Amino acid sequence: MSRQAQPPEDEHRADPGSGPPRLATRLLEGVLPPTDRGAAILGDLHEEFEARARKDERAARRWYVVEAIGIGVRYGRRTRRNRRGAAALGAPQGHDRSWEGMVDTLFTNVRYAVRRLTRSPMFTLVAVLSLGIGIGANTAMFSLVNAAIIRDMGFAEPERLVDVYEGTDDFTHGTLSYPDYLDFVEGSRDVFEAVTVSRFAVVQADTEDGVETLFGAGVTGEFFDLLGIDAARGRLLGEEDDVAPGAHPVVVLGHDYWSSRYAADPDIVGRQVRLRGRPYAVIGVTPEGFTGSVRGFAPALYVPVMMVDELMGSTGNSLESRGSQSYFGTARLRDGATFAQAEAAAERVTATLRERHPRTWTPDKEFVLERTEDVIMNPMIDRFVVPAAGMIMTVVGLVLLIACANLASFLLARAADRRKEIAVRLAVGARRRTLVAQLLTETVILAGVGGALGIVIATQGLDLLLAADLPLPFPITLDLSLDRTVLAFSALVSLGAGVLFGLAPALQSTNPDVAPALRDESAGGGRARGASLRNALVVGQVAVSVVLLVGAGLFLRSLDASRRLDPGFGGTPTALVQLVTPGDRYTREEALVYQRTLRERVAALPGVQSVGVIDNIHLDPLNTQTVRVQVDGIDPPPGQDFHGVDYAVIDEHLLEALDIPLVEGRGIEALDVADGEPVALVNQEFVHRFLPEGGAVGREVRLNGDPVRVVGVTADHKVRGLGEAPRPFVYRPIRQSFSPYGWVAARTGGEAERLVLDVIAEARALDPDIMVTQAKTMRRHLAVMLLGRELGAMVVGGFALLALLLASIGLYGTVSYAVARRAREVGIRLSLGADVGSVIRMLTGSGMRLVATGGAIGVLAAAAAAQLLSRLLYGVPPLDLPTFLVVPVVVGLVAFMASWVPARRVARIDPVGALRSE
Amino acid sequence: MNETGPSIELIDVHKSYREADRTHRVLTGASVEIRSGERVAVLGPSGSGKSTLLNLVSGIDLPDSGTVRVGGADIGALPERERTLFRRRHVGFVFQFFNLVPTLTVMENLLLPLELTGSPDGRAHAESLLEAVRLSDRAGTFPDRLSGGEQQRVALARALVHGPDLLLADEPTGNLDEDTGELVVALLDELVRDSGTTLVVVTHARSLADRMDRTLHVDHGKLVEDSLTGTVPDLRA
Repeated sequence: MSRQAQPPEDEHRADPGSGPPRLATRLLEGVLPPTDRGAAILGDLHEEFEARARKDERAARRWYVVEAIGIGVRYGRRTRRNRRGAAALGAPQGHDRSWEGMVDTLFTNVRYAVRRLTRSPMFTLVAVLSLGIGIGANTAMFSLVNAAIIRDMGFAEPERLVDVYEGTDDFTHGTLSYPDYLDFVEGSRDVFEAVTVSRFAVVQADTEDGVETLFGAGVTGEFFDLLGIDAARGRLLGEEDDVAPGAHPVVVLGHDYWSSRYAADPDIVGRQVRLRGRPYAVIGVTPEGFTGSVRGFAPALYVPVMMVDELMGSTGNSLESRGSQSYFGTARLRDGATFAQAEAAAERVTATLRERHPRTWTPDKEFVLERTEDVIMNPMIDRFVVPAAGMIMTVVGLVLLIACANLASFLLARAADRRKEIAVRLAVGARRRTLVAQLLTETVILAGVGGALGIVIATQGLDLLLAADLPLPFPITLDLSLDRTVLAFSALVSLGAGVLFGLAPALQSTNPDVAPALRDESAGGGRARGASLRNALVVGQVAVSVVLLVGAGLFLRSLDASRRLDPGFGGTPTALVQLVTPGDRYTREEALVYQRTLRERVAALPGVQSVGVIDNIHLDPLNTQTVRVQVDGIDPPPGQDFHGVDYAVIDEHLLEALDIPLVEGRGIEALDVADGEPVALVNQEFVHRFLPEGGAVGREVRLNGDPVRVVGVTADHKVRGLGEAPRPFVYRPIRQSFSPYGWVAARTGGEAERLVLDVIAEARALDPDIMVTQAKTMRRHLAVMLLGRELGAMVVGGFALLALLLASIGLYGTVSYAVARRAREVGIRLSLGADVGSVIRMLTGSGMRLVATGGAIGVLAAAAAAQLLSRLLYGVPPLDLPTFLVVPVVVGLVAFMASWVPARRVARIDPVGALRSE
Repeated sequence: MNETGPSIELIDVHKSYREADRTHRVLTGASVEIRSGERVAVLGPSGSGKSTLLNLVSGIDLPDSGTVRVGGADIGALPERERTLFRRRHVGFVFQFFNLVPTLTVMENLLLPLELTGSPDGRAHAESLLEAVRLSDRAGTFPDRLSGGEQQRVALARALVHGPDLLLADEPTGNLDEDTGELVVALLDELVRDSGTTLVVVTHARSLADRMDRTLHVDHGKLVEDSLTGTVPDLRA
């Protein structure tokens, strides 16, 4: 049936005036198609005219005439063409289903959506900002997740790659020793095409200005070939570069390092770089995007594994030591070989090694294989990374959900206001589908613009994150560029958000219940349509905010508990500088002299209170070392003949420098020399565990099989983690158990940051080529231990506050709208003698009832969610009472303000005006 | 206040409103005296200030200058709290657009003034009033399910439920068809007659005005007595 486009003449106009020019209207009625679209266009024109007429009727009439002429010319042509086409095809003229028709409809919808949005600039601004923040947060966090978890590492045929670990009961996925690697290669040739190992190496490179410390990798000759990596320049390392220790001074530069250090010099291949004073020939550059075999750790350069000991100045030979487990193993399955066959091969090699090397290959030690595609960083780390990523994405997802709920709420309010207009359109025959499409176009445009803004926000946020000076013990490299995956994610999220917050209001406002809307509502009837859904959205927002804030509160409390933990050392400003006295340049005695001389020079610096040397600083996440302890009368763990106990080698000043109290006996002394009686200090937990009968001082224990006398007992301190239970510890004198690696710990009454530089300067003054591998303040060193909790608190806390802000805006908007709709009721109540206070209480009360409901739901949901967080918390129970008390109060106060402000405004309206208005 | 309705005096009352960029002078020296228990109709063209007159008498609005006395009290001199209490206890309102609270049922609307005055035992009275306006079967209905006439009858009952001694009605039949308007007028007459309530009705309906004791006209911002009954005495004299 054909319908003629009609202006909504029976629509109630706030200021009807004399209406749009009749002649122009007749022109439009003549040329517009007798379809939904025609009716919609005419309706929109009249609506726009009325809006303009309220400001300036003459200008509105002029505008209307110009629009009518423009549309008349355009549609006059099209109508004639369509009529001819439709008649020829026999298609119904009411709905143009052709491709061009759909495009035309889309164009029209977009045009009118843009018009409606520009007419409500404040709504549009709030909507775009809310969505921008929500989508930006999601995009930024997804970029992180993408870089850390999802992004392809660039390996060829990754499904054939297998990661190889050495696992024990305590440490399930550890690195390999080089001899174990060689045995694994030998015992698994039938299954693996090739096996490679790589290890990290802190490398000192000479520069024009001095030296720079680089994070490099030593790799076997198969490394690049096995992973399927081709050189960007020159060639990569091959088997010919992996023959004899110290015999292959060649280097491959990482693409990023080549770009930043050498400005992507195209002639780099063939040039030489000096590493630890020795010239290395640059043979190639890795391809862009390749970041090594371990995700997140991008080496600046790659050297043959045969050169690592020399480069790091090791005194021993790590290539021959089964105790030196520093190698990451990766293997490529032969064509047709299965993972099960690989596991069987690994079991065979394990059995062989247990038989041949029972001392290092204890019964609980085995080769462990994992599909490379299943591993993110290391399965032990992945156990935390994956839930953390899931938690972060959930948090930002909830923030976006709140933003969507806000907008859905606003749109529902707008839809209620447009109900009569839509009813008129339905009454003149517009199809509901068409109207829904029009309304959804508006929301999808909003979401699109919000998405674009979100990408900008995400980019800026990620730049800030990359620029942040995090106290990491090693450089983490994540490519956070917005690749296709991230952009597709953002587009999908934007579209989803547009549909999510637009669909319900669109469906509700186009509900074909036309008659009541067409009746005059001014008589006072009609409860707010869509109110229940809006209320539900507010309840949901408050509930989600409470959940997020409780999460943030728990993280903050956990962080606070961690901060209050006393590590038992390093309470005063202290500089920490790690040096290596390489074995190829220093004899043991020379190294000791160097360390002593440096200590004396540092001790003479202004403000320095105490200086000591320790080979392995406590709470270093990268390094732990244990000594085999045997004590008469104390049985070792099942299957072993010793106790593994953490230990460090120190000089006679270290306890004072780190402020570790000696509680019994004596400390290390200068007389504890190599040919003196072997002595050791133990801590209180050691005594409690291994010498419980008392009288520890003077007792003899066996360390690595040798008898050693305990000469003193120190107080307990943290060794591996801040939250750990007391752990036994052993100190040996540096003159009896030498290590070329030494941390100089210098306590000062001044600035530790300054002292760090001074210590390096003194070290280099003594030996310009001395290897400085790490330098930091004690504060920064300890901050690593809190980093996870600080990031958790910062991320969850930040997003929770954002969620609360968005929820407050939503509540404010909902209450504002609700009270604005009740302005007449307020007028009635005031005219009947109600006082302003009671009206404010009434209006605020309705908002607060929603908040109370949402808060109660939120607390219950938070209690459930908190159980999931329990593994990530320290020193605070999941159902932490202060958090669960404070958060609802904070939310309640914020929500009260969000309700009270609009309520107060409406309660102060002029009742005369409210009663007079229809 | 008196047992019967209060007297009302307007003395040289001026009132204007600002709309957009211009000032609309509504009352320009209006003066009148309405006796206690008197029933007065106020006639006049749209926008002449009839409703403003009611708002001034009820204390919802204040004059720019001049005096409004109700029961001898200068309304303009009362603090807002006092004016609120005055309205709550002594004034009943009937509006042209009914102004029922849409979220409350008919009975809840009726009980609203009683809640405000804190009268706990008014439900029976409300029910009797509802019966009097012939809507006792619609007590649980929301206003949007009522016709215009029914809504106005509810509004009438609500205006009287707390026993006001001053009833102000602003075009109570203005939004009703003739028959329904007649019914409402008859009810108003029936409920107020012999109660001693002072009644001021703003109306366009001559038939309603004819039922009143006296008729006033708002003419160029002043109140003048209907030509049948003479000019309003100049109270300033």
